[in-house]
Amino acid sequence: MSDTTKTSSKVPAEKSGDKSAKFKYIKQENWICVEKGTVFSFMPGTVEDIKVKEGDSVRQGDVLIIFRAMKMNNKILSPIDGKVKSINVKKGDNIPKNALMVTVA
Amino acid sequence: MSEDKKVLDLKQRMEKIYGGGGAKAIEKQKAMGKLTARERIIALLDKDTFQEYDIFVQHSNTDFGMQGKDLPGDGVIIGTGYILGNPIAIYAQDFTVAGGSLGFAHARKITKMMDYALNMRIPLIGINDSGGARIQEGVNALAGYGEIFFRNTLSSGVIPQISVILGPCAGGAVYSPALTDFVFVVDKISKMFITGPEVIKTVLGEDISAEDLGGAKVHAEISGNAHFFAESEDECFGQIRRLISMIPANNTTKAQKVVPSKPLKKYDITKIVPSDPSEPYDVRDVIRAIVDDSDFMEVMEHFAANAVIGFGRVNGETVGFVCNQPLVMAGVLDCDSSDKIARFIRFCDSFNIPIITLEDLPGYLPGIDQEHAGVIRHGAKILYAYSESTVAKITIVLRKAYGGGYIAMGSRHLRSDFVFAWPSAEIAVMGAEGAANIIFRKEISEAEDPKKMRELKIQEYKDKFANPYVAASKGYIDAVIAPADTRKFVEQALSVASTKNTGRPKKKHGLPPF
Repeated sequence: MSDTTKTSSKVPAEKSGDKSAKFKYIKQENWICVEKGTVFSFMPGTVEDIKVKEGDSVRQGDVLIIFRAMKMNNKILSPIDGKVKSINVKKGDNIPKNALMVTVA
Repeated sequence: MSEDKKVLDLKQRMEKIYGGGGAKAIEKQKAMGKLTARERIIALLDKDTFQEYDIFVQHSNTDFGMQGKDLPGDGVIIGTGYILGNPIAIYAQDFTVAGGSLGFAHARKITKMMDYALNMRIPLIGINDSGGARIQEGVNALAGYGEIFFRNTLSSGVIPQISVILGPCAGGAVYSPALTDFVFVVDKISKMFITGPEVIKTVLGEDISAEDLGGAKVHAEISGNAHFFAESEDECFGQIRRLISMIPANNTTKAQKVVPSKPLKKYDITKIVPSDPSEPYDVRDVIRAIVDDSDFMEVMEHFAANAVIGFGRVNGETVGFVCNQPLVMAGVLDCDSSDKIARFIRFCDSFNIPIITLEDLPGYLPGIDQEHAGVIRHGAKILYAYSESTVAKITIVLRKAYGGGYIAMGSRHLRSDFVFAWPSAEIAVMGAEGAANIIFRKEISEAEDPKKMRELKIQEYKDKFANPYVAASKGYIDAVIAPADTRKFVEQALSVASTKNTGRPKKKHGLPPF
């Protein structure tokens, strides 16, 4: 089978830019982030619940956000140990793919 | 010379070649955190089972100062040996000799081993660690690559072919691994690309390191070119040994049967899947609750993780698992997961490994990028692979089975032999919300309280269709089974299907959408 074609260059770039090779799974259930501690939406969806406040200390694997996409309440986990630096979404927000949700530092 | 002296002479000649590219080159290899080619073979194979061939082969190039240049083994080691008692053919490129570069004699040694593996119907393992074509040999080197690709294709579906990337593998060299069944990579050691960072810099002016361009993580997570990722060479060899123990030697036999055992008690199949369909869970726990010793060997763990594929055993016999992963992107099918699933099904079918499908998905992923990336074409691969395969196929609907996803994931219609559903299964053309909006559009818009009416109609649709019994009443589902009985049903289905004999029309070859 051929390699799977990635997004065509003709498609308008979504909110936080291109699908560059920098995107990495930190952990399967956590999904992508560009740099350590920045958590992006992996597909369009709704912020169902926010489990942390700015300034909270979190451990790797703690639930940051419940993100509803494809009718599933996905748990967005902290990729690292640290403090919640910023929360860029509100409960109930409809957000596109690759939108910055949380920064942990 | 007396006989003893002749043997001594032989030993001395061999010792010299065992030294590879010399102490300095070996030191460099070690500094990169790599084993030498010979050490790798010894670490991978059963103790004292490696028999080397063509050790005295030399190149015959006279151009560009190559005349008389001593390249021990011409930079590649070939031979046969055993892995857990299973005979295999192996070649390993020796980076300490002329950077493992591929010349005519080097390629001929590799193709000799490939012919041997195909004729003997035993698995082939290739360890790649090479700077690329030996430029001094010109088109002879390219011819060598071509001969390798042709044999990869010839052997495809006849013997398992495994590529291990333990160093650079660039340019034309990457296509042999791409044609093989499983590619193993090791963190910080493997580098694969068609055009390297220098070319990209020159042509496009973009800066990228070799690691970011084609390192092990890139291929295991992003490109999907690699099937197994390891932190060290030792871990990688362990993975290869485990895989070899689980797959057959060729397409006319079955994988070695081992002593049967039960799944571990800690995986309680009745407690893994939440009843609320919007709560995720790890489908691998369901697999572990079904297979012997709860031992599951996942393939392509890090790529397109919304689908899970891999090997396990039931009653001592190898089975392949194809599953949706609700934990990741709700388990949707998209371009990458379709590709991953389809290729795995074809491997299992080629090598007589029964396929167990665990289904729980909301459907195909909607989106502009997916449509433009060809999700139609990629998604069709799954349909093709399931329809084409004649090996025993068992499908279990755990929860959601909607729309195209229901058809694609090993449905009765694509000739699964056994289709079971748990009572929690929801088999319908689409989710209740969407369906109610379409079917009852008029009633909802004309109602005094459209919101309430909408909820009423959603519930009505759910009550009617969000269960396995409509599909069961048509015979599309063979049995609705309690989760606790899953292993029992799987065991019997595999046993009944062990003498399965069904065919497809004869043709030169089909035209799958790749």
